[in-house]
Amino acid sequence: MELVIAIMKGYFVVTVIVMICYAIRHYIFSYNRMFYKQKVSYRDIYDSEYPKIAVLIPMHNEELVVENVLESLLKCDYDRDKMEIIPINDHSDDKTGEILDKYSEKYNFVKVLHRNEPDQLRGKPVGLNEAMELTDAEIIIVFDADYRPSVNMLKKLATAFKDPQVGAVMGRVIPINANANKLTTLLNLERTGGYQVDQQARYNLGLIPQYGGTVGGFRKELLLENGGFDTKILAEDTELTYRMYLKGYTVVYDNSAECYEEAPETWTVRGKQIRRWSRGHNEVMFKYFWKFLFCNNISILQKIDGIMLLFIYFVPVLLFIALFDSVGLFFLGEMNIVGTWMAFIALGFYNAWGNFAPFYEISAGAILDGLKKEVYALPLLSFSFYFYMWYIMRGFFDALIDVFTSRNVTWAKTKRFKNKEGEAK
Amino acid sequence: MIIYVILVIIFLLMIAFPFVLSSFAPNSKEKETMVVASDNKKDPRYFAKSFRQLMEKALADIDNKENSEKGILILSKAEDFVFSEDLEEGYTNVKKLVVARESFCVNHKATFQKEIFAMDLAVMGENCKLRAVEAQKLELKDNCKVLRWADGVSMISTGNGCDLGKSATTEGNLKIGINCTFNKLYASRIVVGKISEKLSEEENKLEDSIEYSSIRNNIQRNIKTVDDKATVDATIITKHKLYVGENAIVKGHIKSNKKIVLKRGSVVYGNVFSEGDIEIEAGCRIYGDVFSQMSVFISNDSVIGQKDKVKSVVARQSLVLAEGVVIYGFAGCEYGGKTTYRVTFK
Repeated sequence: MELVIAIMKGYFVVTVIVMICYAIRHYIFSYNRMFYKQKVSYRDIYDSEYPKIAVLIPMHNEELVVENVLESLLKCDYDRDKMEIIPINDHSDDKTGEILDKYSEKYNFVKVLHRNEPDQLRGKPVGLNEAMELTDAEIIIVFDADYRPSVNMLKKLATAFKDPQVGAVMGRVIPINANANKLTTLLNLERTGGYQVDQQARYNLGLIPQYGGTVGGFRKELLLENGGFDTKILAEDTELTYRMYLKGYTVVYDNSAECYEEAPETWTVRGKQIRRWSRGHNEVMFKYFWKFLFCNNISILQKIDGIMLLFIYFVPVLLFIALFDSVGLFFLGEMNIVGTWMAFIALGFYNAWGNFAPFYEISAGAILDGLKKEVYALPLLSFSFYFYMWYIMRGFFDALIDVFTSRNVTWAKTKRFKNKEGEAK
Repeated sequence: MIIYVILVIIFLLMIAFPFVLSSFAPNSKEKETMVVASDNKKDPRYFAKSFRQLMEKALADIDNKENSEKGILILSKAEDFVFSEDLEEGYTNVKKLVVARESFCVNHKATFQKEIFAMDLAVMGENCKLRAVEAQKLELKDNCKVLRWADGVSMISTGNGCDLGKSATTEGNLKIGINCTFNKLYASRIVVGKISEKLSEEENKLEDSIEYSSIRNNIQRNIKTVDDKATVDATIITKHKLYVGENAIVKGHIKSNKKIVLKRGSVVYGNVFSEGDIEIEAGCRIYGDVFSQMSVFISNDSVIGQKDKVKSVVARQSLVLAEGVVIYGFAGCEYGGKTTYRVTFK
């Protein structure tokens, strides 16, 4: 029994330390974004020469939104001789394929990749890999089918590659349906914290801004050197981020490259999305932790940030177990770990700062974005915190099974909530 | 017992308090989606073009309205205006928007509190102060001060000691004097002061441009120096301070996480990016963009960019341009830039 209690106490202390580390990280990012000097974005560069780009749009049953994204791309001010649009029609059984073929007939730079073979491996990574083989473009830009890029979006993203060290660039997504319900309000706040503060602060500090899989781009050759995306990993975006840094390249974030996305409007859909993200991210953690730890191409601070980022979907699992651990210790009368007052301080960090430190980032983001009244909704995030914890746990165990069984992962599309005109249903 | 009940009530109130606050969050009807400007195009002459568009529309409408007699132009709002020929003799402080249908020359010190719109040449005399000016051709004499922006469609020329405000832009040539300050400059060719005869000859020789596709992309990592007169047939990415020796040639791009120093006469075919300062000594030639998260110092007779192409020099902090510097395209910085006879390196 003594051994069990010692393990429980040790686990408690370790979790508290981990949570304090993450809390400090969140404070540094918030402080940096609010008070520290900001890095100049590459958007200030004017240049008449741009690299050839291919815009890849993975699609599965997207007949409601496919025309919107294509029309938006056709309005972009990028030189058409230097641009290809490659929609990836991945086993759609609605009219997506027909619509795409019409565009392909009309515009010679729209090349559709139809993936209809019944025994074909499915999903975003494998679709992207096949599409990359179809183009001689130097830069790959990826959008989801429900996105509507602005006129200058492609130039903004492509300009970042003027810097030879930039391997990937990430823009900012903004929920178009933030006013749909309480969930989308909260998601809007989360995105604000995540992009306006977290990503920008990492860019400012020269840490590890994350490529997010859409509204972003990357150098094709860097990916194809190792056979493209790993089709056994769901979070191809996170994997790409780590791959870039391991090769000595960087990911940059452009806060001005804004694009609307559709946020999930039901908790069920959000839960599935979080579970998929957790699974993918943890797969990347299993694959890249040791490689990243011993990589020579990155600075110590980048290493610390990268490791903490890798563990971001593992921490809720730690915390979930720690909650039961602390309750157990309490009822066993073993909470006097390092003295009563220290226990109080630790608990304070552990349950308040640790859990809710991201809220400081969100608040800072809301201030920067001018979302004044929305800040009142912050306390409601404590509910979604426990909701996320549950789905992140499930995603983590999915990833564990993936690692032990080497099974093929199947990519589940997030449900759309808009009609053809882009209005919320 | 009562104490326990009170404590429980206090506990419940405290735990409920944040959620009571959350009821003040806007509901679905009150909330608005954050606006993403979807139609904005990147244009360094954006303000000038918008202003010209508004002015041309307002002036075209003016004959049909009584506003001309009242001296009002309808832009984004009604603006008092005056035709340049109607300005009082010896004016020193003009509070109305000025419209010049022909050449507009100011030969004395004057302050213009509103914009100036000149359909032909505008010449602003020494020590003039103006809010903004849009002209076909624009000449600013010594020590003029622009509060916001100055634009000349086909050319701008400035004397010494001018403050060019937020931006000075033209589609043609921009000749900028010495000891001028600026934030953004844009022109097909920006020249600081007088260019030397030697540079004039060399610039002509260097008119053959470097094609983007011909710039070397193979990477040479973490070097600290390029020897004098050496040729690097690669792109350089380094975490160290980088010195490129005199008359050396780099046929790719350069990126350093620290300072970059290009010694006298060195040539770079691609872009030069740095997280630290960039010091470009006299007579250097960079065919691509120059970008620094700190400051950029460009010494005499250096040429950035290529003829008939747009390239940029961007510094997060300050940008110092010495006499004889030529930039094809854009130059901008956040903390303010200046022109000088000679750059003093740290």
